[in-house]
Amino acid sequence: MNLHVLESLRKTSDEPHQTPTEKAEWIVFSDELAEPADESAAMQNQVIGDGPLALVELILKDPIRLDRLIRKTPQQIVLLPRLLAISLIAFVIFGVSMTLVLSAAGVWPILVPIQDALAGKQSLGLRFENADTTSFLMPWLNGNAFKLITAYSIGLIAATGICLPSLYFYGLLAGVRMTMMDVVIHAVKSKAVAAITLIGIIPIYAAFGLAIAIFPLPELSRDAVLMFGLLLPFIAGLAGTFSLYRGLSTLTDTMTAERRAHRECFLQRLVLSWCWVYSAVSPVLIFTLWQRMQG
Amino acid sequence: MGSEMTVCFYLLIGIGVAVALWIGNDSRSGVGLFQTISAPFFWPMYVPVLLARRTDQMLTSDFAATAGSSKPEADGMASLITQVESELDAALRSLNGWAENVLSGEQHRIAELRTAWRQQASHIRELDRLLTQKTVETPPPVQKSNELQAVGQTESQAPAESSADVTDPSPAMIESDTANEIRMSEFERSRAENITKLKQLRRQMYDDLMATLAWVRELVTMIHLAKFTGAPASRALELVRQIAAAVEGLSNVNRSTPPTTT
Repeated sequence: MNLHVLESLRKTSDEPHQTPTEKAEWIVFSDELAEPADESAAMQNQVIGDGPLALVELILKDPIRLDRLIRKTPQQIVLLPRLLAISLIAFVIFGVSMTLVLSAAGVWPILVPIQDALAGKQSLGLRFENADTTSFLMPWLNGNAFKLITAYSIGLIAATGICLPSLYFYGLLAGVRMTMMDVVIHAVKSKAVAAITLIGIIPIYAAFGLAIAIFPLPELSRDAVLMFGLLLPFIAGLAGTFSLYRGLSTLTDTMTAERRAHRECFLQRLVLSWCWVYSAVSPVLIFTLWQRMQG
Repeated sequence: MGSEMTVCFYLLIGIGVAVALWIGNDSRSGVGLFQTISAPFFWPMYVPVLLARRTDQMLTSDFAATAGSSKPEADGMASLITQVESELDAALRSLNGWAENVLSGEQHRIAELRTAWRQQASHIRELDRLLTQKTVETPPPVQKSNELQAVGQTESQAPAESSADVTDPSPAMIESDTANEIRMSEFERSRAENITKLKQLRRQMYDDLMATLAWVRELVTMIHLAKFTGAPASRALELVRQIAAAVEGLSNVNRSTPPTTT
Protein backbone atom coordinates (compact mmCIF):
# COMPACT_ATOMS: atom_id res chain seq x y z
CA MET A 1 0.00 0.00 0.00
CA ASN A 2 1.67 3.20 -1.18
CA LEU A 3 0.53 6.11 0.96
CA HIS A 4 2.16 8.62 -1.38
CA VAL A 5 0.10 7.32 -4.26
CA LEU A 6 -3.05 7.50 -2.16
CA GLU A 7 -2.25 11.09 -1.24
CA SER A 8 -1.72 12.04 -4.87
CA LEU A 9 -4.97 10.36 -5.82
CA ARG A 10 -6.77 12.31 -3.12
CA LYS A 11 -5.34 15.58 -4.41
CA THR A 12 -6.30 14.86 -8.00
CA SER A 13 -9.83 14.00 -6.96
CA ASP A 14 -10.38 17.42 -5.41
CA GLU A 15 -11.09 19.18 -8.72
CA PRO A 16 -14.83 19.75 -8.04
CA HIS A 17 -13.92 21.93 -5.05
CA GLN A 18 -11.74 24.36 -7.01
CA THR A 19 -12.48 27.97 -8.08
CA PRO A 20 -15.79 28.77 -9.79
CA THR A 21 -14.24 29.41 -13.22
CA GLU A 22 -12.35 26.15 -13.12
CA LYS A 23 -15.44 24.47 -11.82
CA ALA A 24 -17.44 25.77 -14.79
CA GLU A 25 -14.81 24.42 -17.19
CA TRP A 26 -14.90 21.12 -15.35
CA ILE A 27 -18.66 20.94 -15.71
CA VAL A 28 -18.43 21.62 -19.45
CA PHE A 29 -15.72 18.98 -19.74
CA SER A 30 -17.88 16.47 -17.91
CA ASP A 31 -20.88 17.25 -20.16
CA GLU A 32 -18.77 16.59 -23.24
CA LEU A 33 -17.67 13.29 -21.86
CA ALA A 34 -21.15 12.26 -20.76
CA GLU A 35 -22.52 11.88 -24.29
CA PRO A 36 -20.28 9.07 -25.54
CA ALA A 37 -20.84 7.12 -22.32
CA ASP A 38 -24.62 7.52 -22.64
CA GLU A 39 -24.55 6.49 -26.29
CA SER A 40 -22.42 3.43 -25.64
CA ALA A 41 -24.58 2.45 -22.65
CA ALA A 42 -27.72 2.78 -24.78
CA MET A 43 -26.15 0.75 -27.55
CA GLN A 44 -25.15 -1.94 -25.12
CA ASN A 45 -28.66 -2.11 -23.76
CA GLN A 46 -29.89 -2.63 -27.32
CA VAL A 47 -27.35 -5.38 -28.00
CA ILE A 48 -27.49 -7.34 -24.79
CA GLY A 49 -30.54 -9.40 -24.14
CA ASP A 50 -31.68 -12.89 -23.24
CA GLY A 51 -31.41 -15.96 -25.40
CA PRO A 52 -28.92 -17.16 -28.02
CA LEU A 53 -30.03 -14.59 -30.64
CA ALA A 54 -28.86 -11.79 -28.39
CA LEU A 55 -25.48 -13.46 -28.32
CA VAL A 56 -25.52 -13.74 -32.13
CA GLU A 57 -26.17 -10.02 -32.33
CA LEU A 58 -23.29 -9.37 -29.97
CA ILE A 59 -20.99 -11.51 -32.13
CA LEU A 60 -21.99 -9.56 -35.24
CA LYS A 61 -22.31 -6.02 -33.89
CA ASP A 62 -19.84 -5.69 -31.01
CA PRO A 63 -17.17 -8.42 -31.11
CA ILE A 64 -14.75 -6.32 -29.04
CA ARG A 65 -17.25 -6.17 -26.22
CA LEU A 66 -17.74 -9.91 -26.49
CA ASP A 67 -13.98 -10.35 -26.06
CA ARG A 68 -14.19 -8.32 -22.85
CA LEU A 69 -17.27 -10.21 -21.67
CA ILE A 70 -15.75 -13.67 -22.00
CA ARG A 71 -12.84 -12.71 -19.73
CA LYS A 72 -15.12 -12.69 -16.69
CA THR A 73 -15.27 -16.12 -15.07
CA PRO A 74 -19.02 -16.16 -14.22
CA GLN A 75 -19.83 -15.13 -17.79
CA GLN A 76 -17.60 -17.86 -19.16
CA ILE A 77 -19.64 -20.60 -17.50
CA VAL A 78 -22.87 -19.07 -18.81
CA LEU A 79 -21.67 -18.28 -22.34
CA LEU A 80 -19.87 -21.55 -23.13
CA PRO A 81 -22.97 -23.71 -23.77
CA ARG A 82 -24.65 -20.88 -25.68
CA LEU A 83 -21.69 -20.40 -28.00
CA LEU A 84 -21.51 -24.16 -28.47
CA ALA A 85 -25.21 -24.26 -29.31
CA ILE A 86 -24.77 -21.50 -31.90
CA SER A 87 -21.95 -23.45 -33.53
CA LEU A 88 -23.88 -26.72 -33.58
CA ILE A 89 -27.03 -25.15 -35.02
CA ALA A 90 -25.06 -23.35 -37.71
CA PHE A 91 -23.18 -26.49 -38.76
CA VAL A 92 -26.45 -28.46 -38.86
CA ILE A 93 -27.91 -25.79 -41.14
CA PHE A 94 -24.82 -26.10 -43.33
CA GLY A 95 -25.24 -29.87 -43.49
CA VAL A 96 -28.89 -29.52 -44.49
CA SER A 97 -27.97 -26.95 -47.15
CA MET A 98 -25.24 -29.14 -48.62
CA THR A 99 -27.62 -32.09 -48.68
CA LEU A 100 -30.13 -30.01 -50.64
CA VAL A 101 -27.46 -28.88 -53.10
CA LEU A 102 -26.17 -32.43 -53.60
CA SER A 103 -29.73 -33.71 -54.02
CA ALA A 104 -30.43 -30.99 -56.58
CA ALA A 105 -27.25 -31.95 -58.44
CA GLY A 106 -28.22 -35.64 -58.36
CA VAL A 107 -24.87 -36.81 -56.96
CA TRP A 108 -23.52 -37.95 -53.65
CA PRO A 109 -19.90 -37.98 -52.42
CA ILE A 110 -18.31 -41.39 -51.88
CA LEU A 111 -15.39 -41.44 -49.49
CA VAL A 112 -12.42 -43.79 -49.73
CA PRO A 113 -10.40 -44.71 -46.63
CA ILE A 114 -7.35 -42.51 -46.32
CA GLN A 115 -4.99 -45.44 -46.04
CA ASP A 116 -6.29 -46.89 -49.33
CA ALA A 117 -5.85 -43.58 -51.07
CA LEU A 118 -2.33 -43.22 -49.71
CA ALA A 119 -1.50 -46.81 -50.65
CA GLY A 120 -2.55 -46.14 -54.20
CA LYS A 121 -5.45 -48.58 -54.20
CA GLN A 122 -7.82 -45.76 -55.07
CA SER A 123 -7.01 -42.71 -57.11
CA LEU A 124 -9.00 -40.20 -55.10
CA GLY A 125 -10.13 -39.97 -51.46
CA LEU A 126 -13.48 -38.46 -52.41
CA ARG A 127 -15.46 -38.67 -55.62
CA PHE A 128 -18.96 -37.72 -56.64
CA GLU A 129 -21.14 -40.48 -58.03
CA ASN A 130 -24.61 -40.32 -59.44
CA ALA A 131 -27.09 -40.87 -56.67
CA ASP A 132 -30.49 -42.49 -56.63
CA THR A 133 -32.73 -39.78 -58.06
CA THR A 134 -36.05 -41.56 -57.58
CA SER A 135 -36.85 -39.20 -54.75
CA PHE A 136 -35.51 -35.84 -53.67
CA LEU A 137 -35.67 -37.15 -50.12
CA MET A 138 -33.59 -40.25 -50.83
CA PRO A 139 -30.47 -38.98 -48.98
CA TRP A 140 -32.68 -38.53 -45.92
CA LEU A 141 -34.33 -41.90 -46.29
CA ASN A 142 -31.10 -43.86 -46.68
CA GLY A 143 -29.36 -41.91 -43.93
CA ASN A 144 -26.65 -40.29 -46.05
CA ALA A 145 -27.81 -36.80 -45.13
CA PHE A 146 -27.62 -37.53 -41.41
CA LYS A 147 -24.13 -38.94 -41.82
CA LEU A 148 -22.96 -35.77 -43.58
CA ILE A 149 -24.56 -33.53 -40.96
CA THR A 150 -23.17 -35.57 -38.07
CA ALA A 151 -19.67 -35.73 -39.53
CA TYR A 152 -19.43 -31.98 -40.02
CA SER A 153 -21.16 -30.98 -36.77
CA ILE A 154 -19.18 -33.28 -34.52
CA GLY A 155 -15.96 -33.19 -36.50
CA LEU A 156 -15.57 -29.42 -36.59
CA ILE A 157 -16.19 -28.99 -32.88
CA ALA A 158 -14.42 -32.16 -31.71
CA ALA A 159 -11.31 -31.06 -33.63
CA THR A 160 -11.30 -27.93 -31.48
CA GLY A 161 -11.42 -30.11 -28.39
CA ILE A 162 -8.51 -32.21 -29.67
CA CYS A 163 -6.39 -29.11 -30.27
CA LEU A 164 -7.25 -27.35 -26.99
CA PRO A 165 -4.29 -28.63 -24.94
CA SER A 166 -1.83 -27.38 -27.55
CA LEU A 167 -3.41 -23.92 -27.42
CA TYR A 168 -3.11 -23.91 -23.64
CA PHE A 169 0.58 -24.81 -23.79
CA TYR A 170 1.20 -22.24 -26.50
CA GLY A 171 -0.29 -19.63 -24.16
CA LEU A 172 1.97 -20.79 -21.34
CA LEU A 173 4.97 -20.60 -23.67
CA ALA A 174 4.07 -17.04 -24.56
CA GLY A 175 3.78 -16.14 -20.87
CA VAL A 176 0.09 -15.24 -20.92
CA ARG A 177 -1.77 -15.67 -17.66
CA MET A 178 -4.79 -17.67 -18.70
CA THR A 179 -6.61 -20.67 -17.34
CA MET A 180 -7.89 -23.68 -19.26
CA MET A 181 -11.33 -22.12 -19.05
CA ASP A 182 -10.01 -19.03 -20.85
CA VAL A 183 -8.60 -21.25 -23.60
CA VAL A 184 -11.87 -23.15 -24.01
CA ILE A 185 -14.06 -20.06 -24.12
CA HIS A 186 -11.86 -18.30 -26.68
CA ALA A 187 -11.73 -21.40 -28.87
CA VAL A 188 -15.51 -21.93 -28.69
CA LYS A 189 -16.10 -18.24 -29.34
CA SER A 190 -13.98 -18.39 -32.48
CA LYS A 191 -15.93 -21.49 -33.53
CA ALA A 192 -19.21 -19.60 -33.08
CA VAL A 193 -17.88 -16.69 -35.14
CA ALA A 194 -16.87 -19.09 -37.92
CA ALA A 195 -20.28 -20.77 -37.74
CA ILE A 196 -22.16 -17.48 -38.10
CA THR A 197 -19.91 -16.49 -40.99
CA LEU A 198 -20.71 -19.83 -42.61
CA ILE A 199 -24.44 -19.09 -42.29
CA GLY A 200 -23.80 -15.85 -44.12
CA ILE A 201 -21.90 -17.55 -46.92
CA ILE A 202 -24.38 -20.39 -47.49
CA PRO A 203 -27.02 -18.35 -49.40
CA ILE A 204 -24.33 -17.10 -51.79
CA TYR A 205 -23.09 -20.62 -52.36
CA ALA A 206 -26.64 -21.93 -52.73
CA ALA A 207 -26.99 -19.75 -55.82
CA PHE A 208 -23.98 -21.48 -57.37
CA GLY A 209 -25.32 -24.83 -56.26
CA LEU A 210 -28.63 -24.25 -57.95
CA ALA A 211 -26.79 -23.37 -61.14
CA ILE A 212 -25.51 -26.96 -61.22
CA ALA A 213 -29.07 -28.23 -61.27
CA ILE A 214 -30.25 -25.73 -63.85
CA PHE A 215 -27.36 -25.46 -66.29
CA PRO A 216 -25.69 -28.49 -67.93
CA LEU A 217 -22.13 -28.07 -66.60
CA PRO A 218 -19.20 -30.37 -67.38
CA GLU A 219 -18.53 -33.01 -64.78
CA LEU A 220 -15.27 -31.40 -63.71
CA SER A 221 -16.91 -28.03 -63.12
CA ARG A 222 -19.74 -29.67 -61.25
CA ASP A 223 -17.32 -31.55 -58.97
CA ALA A 224 -15.30 -28.37 -58.39
CA VAL A 225 -18.36 -26.44 -57.27
CA LEU A 226 -19.50 -29.25 -54.99
CA MET A 227 -16.01 -29.66 -53.52
CA PHE A 228 -15.93 -25.91 -52.88
CA GLY A 229 -19.16 -26.31 -50.97
CA LEU A 230 -17.73 -29.07 -48.80
CA LEU A 231 -14.76 -26.81 -48.02
CA LEU A 232 -16.94 -23.81 -47.06
CA PRO A 233 -16.56 -24.35 -43.29
CA PHE A 234 -12.81 -23.96 -43.62
CA ILE A 235 -13.19 -20.77 -45.64
CA ALA A 236 -15.55 -19.40 -42.99
CA GLY A 237 -13.03 -20.57 -40.43
CA LEU A 238 -10.78 -17.70 -41.49
CA ALA A 239 -13.15 -15.37 -39.65
CA GLY A 240 -12.93 -17.60 -36.61
CA THR A 241 -9.16 -17.56 -36.85
CA PHE A 242 -9.12 -13.77 -36.84
CA SER A 243 -11.54 -13.74 -33.89
CA LEU A 244 -9.28 -16.09 -31.93
CA TYR A 245 -6.22 -14.03 -32.85
CA ARG A 246 -7.89 -10.82 -31.67
CA GLY A 247 -9.28 -12.38 -28.49
CA LEU A 248 -6.01 -13.91 -27.33
CA SER A 249 -4.13 -10.72 -28.22
CA THR A 250 -6.17 -8.89 -25.58
CA LEU A 251 -4.77 -11.28 -22.98
CA THR A 252 -1.33 -9.72 -23.38
CA ASP A 253 -2.40 -7.06 -20.88
CA THR A 254 -1.90 -9.72 -18.20
CA MET A 255 1.82 -9.55 -18.92
CA THR A 256 4.12 -6.96 -17.48
CA ALA A 257 4.96 -4.09 -19.80
CA GLU A 258 8.51 -5.29 -20.29
CA ARG A 259 7.49 -8.83 -21.06
CA ARG A 260 4.73 -7.68 -23.37
CA ALA A 261 7.23 -5.90 -25.58
CA HIS A 262 9.13 -9.16 -26.12
CA ARG A 263 6.33 -11.70 -26.08
CA GLU A 264 3.34 -10.14 -27.81
CA CYS A 265 4.59 -10.92 -31.29
CA PHE A 266 5.49 -14.45 -30.18
CA LEU A 267 1.94 -14.98 -28.89
CA GLN A 268 0.45 -13.85 -32.18
CA ARG A 269 2.63 -16.27 -34.11
CA LEU A 270 1.73 -19.09 -31.76
CA VAL A 271 -1.96 -18.42 -32.30
CA LEU A 272 -1.47 -18.58 -36.06
CA SER A 273 0.47 -21.83 -35.64
CA TRP A 274 -2.38 -23.28 -33.62
CA CYS A 275 -4.81 -22.32 -36.38
CA TRP A 276 -2.67 -24.20 -38.86
CA VAL A 277 -2.71 -27.22 -36.55
CA TYR A 278 -6.49 -27.03 -36.34
CA SER A 279 -6.79 -26.68 -40.12
CA ALA A 280 -4.80 -29.89 -40.47
CA VAL A 281 -6.72 -31.85 -37.82
CA SER A 282 -10.32 -30.91 -38.59
CA PRO A 283 -10.59 -32.07 -42.24
CA VAL A 284 -8.95 -35.38 -41.35
CA LEU A 285 -11.37 -35.87 -38.46
CA ILE A 286 -14.41 -34.96 -40.56
CA PHE A 287 -13.30 -37.23 -43.37
CA THR A 288 -12.60 -40.12 -41.00
CA LEU A 289 -15.94 -39.81 -39.20
CA TRP A 290 -17.86 -39.52 -42.44
CA GLN A 291 -16.06 -42.41 -44.09
CA ARG A 292 -16.53 -44.67 -41.06
CA MET A 293 -20.24 -43.89 -40.92
CA GLN A 294 -20.60 -44.54 -44.65
CA GLY A 295 -18.92 -47.89 -44.22
CA MET B 1 -7.16 -50.52 -29.36
CA GLY B 2 -9.47 -50.06 -32.31
CA SER B 3 -11.42 -46.97 -33.10
CA GLU B 4 -14.61 -48.56 -31.79
CA MET B 5 -13.04 -49.09 -28.38
CA THR B 6 -11.72 -45.52 -28.40
CA VAL B 7 -15.19 -44.20 -29.17
CA CYS B 8 -16.65 -46.34 -26.37
CA PHE B 9 -14.20 -44.97 -23.81
CA TYR B 10 -14.72 -41.45 -25.09
CA LEU B 11 -18.49 -41.76 -24.71
CA LEU B 12 -18.18 -43.38 -21.28
CA ILE B 13 -16.13 -40.46 -19.99
CA GLY B 14 -18.57 -38.11 -21.68
CA ILE B 15 -21.52 -39.72 -19.90
CA GLY B 16 -19.74 -39.26 -16.58
CA VAL B 17 -19.16 -35.59 -17.32
CA ALA B 18 -22.80 -35.23 -18.40
CA VAL B 19 -24.01 -36.70 -15.11
CA ALA B 20 -21.72 -34.36 -13.15
CA LEU B 21 -23.02 -31.36 -15.10
CA TRP B 22 -26.62 -32.41 -14.52
CA ILE B 23 -26.09 -32.78 -10.80
CA GLY B 24 -24.15 -29.52 -10.57
CA ASN B 25 -26.67 -27.41 -12.46
CA ASP B 26 -28.82 -25.37 -10.12
CA SER B 27 -31.62 -24.90 -12.61
CA ARG B 28 -33.03 -27.47 -14.99
CA SER B 29 -33.32 -24.96 -17.81
CA GLY B 30 -32.90 -25.50 -21.53
CA VAL B 31 -29.24 -24.54 -21.29
CA GLY B 32 -28.65 -27.16 -18.61
CA LEU B 33 -30.43 -29.77 -20.70
CA PHE B 34 -28.34 -28.86 -23.73
CA GLN B 35 -25.19 -29.13 -21.64
CA THR B 36 -26.17 -32.59 -20.46
CA ILE B 37 -27.03 -33.81 -23.96
CA SER B 38 -23.95 -32.40 -25.65
CA ALA B 39 -21.50 -33.35 -22.90
CA PRO B 40 -20.97 -36.99 -24.04
CA PHE B 41 -19.75 -35.68 -27.40
CA PHE B 42 -17.93 -32.50 -26.35
CA TRP B 43 -16.86 -33.28 -22.78
CA PRO B 44 -13.29 -31.87 -23.21
CA MET B 45 -14.91 -28.44 -23.30
CA TYR B 46 -17.06 -29.02 -20.24
CA VAL B 47 -14.36 -30.37 -17.93
CA PRO B 48 -12.92 -26.86 -17.28
CA VAL B 49 -16.45 -25.72 -16.46
CA LEU B 50 -16.76 -28.44 -13.82
CA LEU B 51 -13.34 -27.57 -12.39
CA ALA B 52 -14.14 -23.84 -12.34
CA ARG B 53 -17.39 -24.51 -10.49
CA ARG B 54 -15.63 -26.82 -8.03
CA THR B 55 -12.95 -24.18 -7.29
CA ASP B 56 -15.61 -21.54 -6.62
CA GLN B 57 -17.54 -23.90 -4.33
CA MET B 58 -14.41 -24.79 -2.34
CA LEU B 59 -13.46 -21.14 -1.85
CA THR B 60 -17.00 -20.27 -0.74
CA SER B 61 -17.27 -23.23 1.66
CA ASP B 62 -13.84 -22.59 3.17
CA PHE B 63 -14.73 -18.96 3.75
CA ALA B 64 -18.10 -19.88 5.26
CA ALA B 65 -16.53 -22.53 7.52
CA THR B 66 -13.87 -20.22 8.86
CA ALA B 67 -16.33 -17.39 9.24
CA GLY B 68 -18.82 -19.60 11.10
CA SER B 69 -16.52 -20.71 13.93
CA SER B 70 -15.07 -17.46 15.17
CA LYS B 71 -15.15 -14.83 17.85
CA PRO B 72 -17.42 -11.79 17.53
CA GLU B 73 -14.45 -9.71 16.36
CA ALA B 74 -13.65 -12.25 13.67
CA ASP B 75 -17.33 -12.32 12.65
CA GLY B 76 -16.99 -8.58 12.29
CA MET B 77 -14.08 -9.22 9.91
CA ALA B 78 -16.23 -11.49 7.75
CA SER B 79 -19.07 -8.99 7.60
CA LEU B 80 -16.66 -6.15 6.79
CA ILE B 81 -15.00 -8.18 4.04
CA THR B 82 -18.42 -9.00 2.60
CA GLN B 83 -19.37 -5.33 2.70
CA VAL B 84 -16.14 -4.21 1.03
CA GLU B 85 -16.51 -6.88 -1.66
CA SER B 86 -20.05 -5.75 -2.42
CA GLU B 87 -18.90 -2.13 -2.63
CA LEU B 88 -16.03 -3.17 -4.90
CA ASP B 89 -18.39 -5.16 -7.12
CA ALA B 90 -20.70 -2.16 -7.41
CA ALA B 91 -17.80 0.10 -8.35
CA LEU B 92 -16.51 -2.34 -10.96
CA ARG B 93 -20.01 -2.71 -12.42
CA SER B 94 -20.21 1.04 -12.69
CA LEU B 95 -17.29 0.90 -15.13
CA ASN B 96 -19.71 -0.44 -17.76
CA GLY B 97 -20.32 2.23 -20.33
CA TRP B 98 -17.45 4.36 -19.05
CA ALA B 99 -14.21 2.41 -18.83
CA GLU B 100 -15.06 -1.26 -19.42
CA ASN B 101 -11.70 -2.26 -20.87
CA VAL B 102 -9.95 -1.08 -17.70
CA LEU B 103 -11.03 -4.17 -15.82
CA SER B 104 -9.78 -6.64 -18.41
CA GLY B 105 -6.15 -6.50 -17.41
CA GLU B 106 -6.65 -6.45 -13.65
CA GLN B 107 -9.29 -9.12 -13.15
CA HIS B 108 -6.85 -11.75 -12.01
CA ARG B 109 -5.18 -9.44 -9.49
CA ILE B 110 -8.50 -8.32 -8.07
CA ALA B 111 -9.53 -11.97 -7.71
CA GLU B 112 -6.22 -12.57 -5.92
CA LEU B 113 -6.96 -9.61 -3.65
CA ARG B 114 -10.29 -11.13 -2.61
CA THR B 115 -8.56 -14.44 -1.87
CA ALA B 116 -5.73 -12.71 -0.02
CA TRP B 117 -7.89 -10.82 2.45
CA ARG B 118 -9.97 -13.91 3.13
CA GLN B 119 -6.79 -15.85 3.81
CA GLN B 120 -5.61 -13.05 6.06
CA ALA B 121 -8.87 -13.20 8.01
CA SER B 122 -8.55 -16.99 8.23
CA HIS B 123 -5.03 -16.67 9.67
CA ILE B 124 -6.25 -14.15 12.22
CA ARG B 125 -9.01 -16.52 13.32
CA GLU B 126 -6.52 -19.37 13.64
CA LEU B 127 -4.33 -17.18 15.82
CA ASP B 128 -7.36 -16.26 17.91
CA ARG B 129 -8.19 -19.93 18.44
CA LEU B 130 -4.57 -20.68 19.29
CA LEU B 131 -4.26 -17.84 21.76
CA THR B 132 -7.47 -18.75 23.56
CA GLN B 133 -6.35 -22.30 24.24
CA LYS B 134 -5.26 -23.03 27.83
CA THR B 135 -1.93 -24.46 26.69
CA VAL B 136 -0.85 -21.08 25.44
CA GLU B 137 -2.13 -19.02 28.34
CA THR B 138 0.61 -16.80 29.68
CA PRO B 139 1.32 -17.90 33.27
CA PRO B 140 2.48 -15.40 35.91
CA PRO B 141 6.23 -16.08 35.83
CA VAL B 142 7.19 -15.14 39.42
CA GLN B 143 4.36 -17.04 41.14
CA LYS B 144 5.00 -20.10 39.06
CA SER B 145 8.64 -20.39 40.16
CA ASN B 146 7.63 -19.81 43.76
CA GLU B 147 4.98 -22.48 43.40
CA LEU B 148 7.53 -24.79 41.94
CA GLN B 149 9.86 -24.06 44.76
CA ALA B 150 7.03 -24.58 47.24
CA VAL B 151 6.01 -27.79 45.51
CA GLY B 152 9.62 -28.89 45.44
CA GLN B 153 10.07 -28.15 49.09
CA THR B 154 6.78 -29.88 49.94
CA GLU B 155 7.73 -32.92 47.93
CA SER B 156 11.13 -32.99 49.46
CA GLN B 157 9.67 -32.56 52.92
CA ALA B 158 6.83 -35.10 52.60
CA PRO B 159 8.92 -38.27 52.38
CA ALA B 160 10.98 -37.06 55.34
CA GLU B 161 7.81 -36.54 57.41
CA SER B 162 6.29 -39.87 56.46
CA SER B 163 9.32 -42.01 56.98
CA ALA B 164 11.73 -41.91 59.84
CA ASP B 165 14.51 -43.48 57.83
CA VAL B 166 14.85 -40.68 55.17
CA THR B 167 17.89 -38.58 55.53
CA ASP B 168 18.09 -34.79 54.83
CA PRO B 169 18.66 -33.82 51.16
CA SER B 170 22.28 -33.45 50.25
CA PRO B 171 23.70 -30.17 48.93
CA ALA B 172 24.06 -31.76 45.46
CA MET B 173 20.38 -32.56 45.31
CA ILE B 174 19.47 -29.07 46.39
CA GLU B 175 21.75 -27.61 43.70
CA SER B 176 20.19 -29.89 41.07
CA ASP B 177 16.70 -28.87 42.05
CA THR B 178 17.67 -25.21 41.85
CA ALA B 179 19.13 -25.66 38.36
CA ASN B 180 15.95 -27.40 37.22
CA GLU B 181 13.88 -24.58 38.61
CA ILE B 182 16.02 -22.02 36.80
CA ARG B 183 15.67 -23.92 33.51
CA MET B 184 11.92 -24.22 34.00
CA SER B 185 11.61 -20.50 34.65
CA GLU B 186 13.68 -19.75 31.55
CA PHE B 187 11.46 -22.01 29.46
CA GLU B 188 8.40 -20.32 30.84
CA ARG B 189 9.86 -16.87 30.17
CA SER B 190 10.67 -17.76 26.56
CA ARG B 191 7.23 -19.26 26.15
CA ALA B 192 5.68 -16.07 27.46
CA GLU B 193 7.78 -14.00 25.04
CA ASN B 194 6.66 -16.17 22.10
CA ILE B 195 3.05 -15.82 23.13
CA THR B 196 3.47 -12.06 23.38
CA LYS B 197 4.99 -12.00 19.90
CA LEU B 198 2.11 -14.09 18.59
CA LYS B 199 -0.29 -11.54 20.01
CA GLN B 200 1.71 -8.72 18.42
CA LEU B 201 1.69 -10.57 15.10
CA ARG B 202 -2.03 -11.07 15.34
CA ARG B 203 -2.52 -7.38 16.05
CA GLN B 204 -0.28 -6.44 13.11
CA MET B 205 -2.15 -8.75 10.73
CA TYR B 206 -5.49 -7.42 11.90
CA ASP B 207 -4.39 -3.79 11.54
CA ASP B 208 -3.01 -4.45 8.05
CA LEU B 209 -6.21 -6.15 6.98
CA MET B 210 -8.34 -3.29 8.29
CA ALA B 211 -6.06 -0.75 6.64
CA THR B 212 -6.26 -2.59 3.31
CA LEU B 213 -10.04 -2.80 3.49
CA ALA B 214 -10.24 0.92 4.32
CA TRP B 215 -7.83 1.67 1.46
CA VAL B 216 -9.98 -0.26 -0.99
CA ARG B 217 -13.17 1.43 0.26
CA GLU B 218 -11.61 4.84 -0.29
CA LEU B 219 -10.52 3.90 -3.80
CA VAL B 220 -14.03 2.61 -4.52
CA THR B 221 -15.51 5.97 -3.57
CA MET B 222 -12.92 7.67 -5.76
CA ILE B 223 -14.10 5.55 -8.69
CA HIS B 224 -17.69 6.67 -8.18
CA LEU B 225 -16.54 10.26 -7.77
CA ALA B 226 -14.45 10.09 -10.93
CA LYS B 227 -17.31 8.62 -12.93
CA PHE B 228 -19.88 11.20 -11.91
CA THR B 229 -17.50 14.12 -12.31
CA GLY B 230 -16.78 13.04 -15.89
CA ALA B 231 -13.18 11.98 -15.42
CA PRO B 232 -11.51 10.18 -18.33
CA ALA B 233 -11.15 6.44 -18.43
CA SER B 234 -7.47 6.74 -17.57
CA ARG B 235 -8.50 7.85 -14.11
CA ALA B 236 -10.49 4.64 -13.69
CA LEU B 237 -7.50 2.65 -14.89
CA GLU B 238 -5.29 4.30 -12.31
CA LEU B 239 -7.74 3.62 -9.48
CA VAL B 240 -8.38 0.01 -10.49
CA ARG B 241 -4.65 -0.61 -10.65
CA GLN B 242 -4.24 0.75 -7.15
CA ILE B 243 -6.98 -1.55 -5.92
CA ALA B 244 -5.26 -4.50 -7.58
CA ALA B 245 -1.93 -3.40 -6.12
CA ALA B 246 -3.35 -3.81 -2.61
CA VAL B 247 -2.88 -7.56 -3.04
CA GLU B 248 0.88 -7.08 -2.85
CA GLY B 249 0.67 -5.58 0.60
CA LEU B 250 -1.44 -8.43 1.89
CA SER B 251 0.82 -11.00 0.21
CA ASN B 252 3.84 -9.53 1.98
CA VAL B 253 2.10 -9.81 5.34
CA ASN B 254 1.04 -13.40 4.65
CA ARG B 255 4.58 -14.32 3.70
CA SER B 256 6.14 -12.69 6.80
CA THR B 257 7.40 -15.29 9.28
CA PRO B 258 6.71 -14.93 13.00
CA PRO B 259 9.64 -13.67 15.08
CA THR B 260 11.81 -16.44 16.49
CA THR B 261 13.16 -16.60 20.02
CA THR B 262 16.85 -16.90 20.84
